[in-house]
Amino acid sequence: MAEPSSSRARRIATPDSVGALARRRAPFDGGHSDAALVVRAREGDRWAQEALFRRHMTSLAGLVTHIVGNVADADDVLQDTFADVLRDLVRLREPEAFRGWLHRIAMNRARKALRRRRLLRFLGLDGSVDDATLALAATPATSPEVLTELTMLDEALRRLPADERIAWMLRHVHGEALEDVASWLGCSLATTKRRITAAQARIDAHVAGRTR
Amino acid sequence: MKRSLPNLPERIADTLDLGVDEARVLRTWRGARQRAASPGRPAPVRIAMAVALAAAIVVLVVQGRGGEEPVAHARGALLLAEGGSPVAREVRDDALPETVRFDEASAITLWPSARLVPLHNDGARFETELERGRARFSVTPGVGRAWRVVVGDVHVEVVGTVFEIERSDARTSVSVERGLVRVSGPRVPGGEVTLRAGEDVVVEREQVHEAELAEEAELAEETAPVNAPVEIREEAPPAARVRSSVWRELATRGRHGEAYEALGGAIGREAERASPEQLLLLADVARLSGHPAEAVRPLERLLAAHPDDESAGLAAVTLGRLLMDALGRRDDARRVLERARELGVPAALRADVERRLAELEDSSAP
Repeated sequence: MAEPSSSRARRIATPDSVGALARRRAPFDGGHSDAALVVRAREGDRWAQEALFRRHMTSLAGLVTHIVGNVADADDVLQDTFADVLRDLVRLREPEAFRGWLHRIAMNRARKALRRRRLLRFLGLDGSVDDATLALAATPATSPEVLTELTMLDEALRRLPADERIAWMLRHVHGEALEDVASWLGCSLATTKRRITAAQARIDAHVAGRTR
Repeated sequence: MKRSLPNLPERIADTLDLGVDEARVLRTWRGARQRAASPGRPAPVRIAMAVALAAAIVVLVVQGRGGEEPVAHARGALLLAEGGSPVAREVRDDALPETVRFDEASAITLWPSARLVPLHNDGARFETELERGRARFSVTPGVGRAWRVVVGDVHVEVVGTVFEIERSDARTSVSVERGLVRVSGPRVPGGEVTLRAGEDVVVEREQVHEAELAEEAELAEETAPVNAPVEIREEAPPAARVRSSVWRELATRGRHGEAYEALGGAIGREAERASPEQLLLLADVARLSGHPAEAVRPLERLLAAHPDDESAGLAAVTLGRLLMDALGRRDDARRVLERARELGVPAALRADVERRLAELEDSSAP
């Protein structure tokens, strides 16, 4: 009945020995490029739409879930993102730019979700639970030292402004290139670096306060 | 860069499990398609909604500060205050009353000998059955979730109020302390009655249940073909219905261990009436909760009952790998993987299936 402890959550998240179902259900995309699939999907080809979705869903779900920190909100963001994609695919001028376009939509949605949640929290109306923190997502092999640091990092990230949080997480949690981060967030490289630096400073300050 | 956290790797995701289960993938795909299909709202409607939302927030804040009523917002299924989904609750005859509190500040108090079973739980509706005894419901208003309490054939519907229900062998009584409830059922006067604060209704139960059952049995005997085998179908007990909604809810949230517990060892029975999608989910629950042997039945059922379903090939591959890796049943694994080949193996898995079949054939060669 009680919410799973972090160790329990980690046990549930143990990598599937048989292989993750999501990966197993990858469609027969036959190695088509995104651009080729986009062209077919625009013409209403359901198979191509689903192939595009499945190709990008797993990686995007990881990004969005960690950024938002909550499975229910992340699901909302993902559904809205792919709904936007299905609706607006015809407007995408360069089919080969699909991945960047998809991530821009997702990051924009994630930013809105974070801000909405912050507002609800401010108003005392946020009853949601952070059930997708980095510490909860750690693999069973994670050492206690790393787990402790992930927990501190989760606390620090919770306090960051949405833009800084997203930029820092894309860069340091998922190791995305600075150019991609800037493009997905719709800002210049300089602004992206500034946000990451500011986020790092806040994280360092939080950790220093905890370990003092 | 992460100078204050020296133990974290350069790319933190390397320490994280990034797997996404199939239930979530399907849920996202279906949700996205539904949302994409729904027409966008025109700008004036959006503006009006924004104004209404702002007004609602102001009202909620004012109420939250000054009023007695706790106010919360609904988000997904109703959860317990201490976390987790509500499950069946029973208070022993000799125990003290128990209060079940929910995260949106609603609460249910159960008196001794009462038993309450959740039937349905999502963002729009929470439905529960009072199987016996007395219970007091305090439902937080303003969260947009309708509550429905089933008491035999009496239904009590409510949006935000405080009321009490008592169920005995002879009658069901509903009394309202605050707010409004609607009580309906074949034995409710006029079929339906709306109760306000201070009002109550007593619904007498007719003692015809046994007579009705006997009559139904007689009718069934008369209409059954001669020499046909007699099939005794028991109605699923309430607990089974609960399991059906609760385990799915937990499984789709990735809480496979709890889903397994909620199933109470009934994976096989649940598989008998499950859809292909639910069968895959049942297999996930068994496998990911550490009970690989119990994943076999739902997967076999999918292959036997739904061979034309798009997920049949995947189910065969999953079953084959499970038999080979986790259960050591290599002959069965080979048979199932060959079936997967016939059904069509997803492209990403073809090489793996072929490698496994080759390995199984090599090891079985004299």
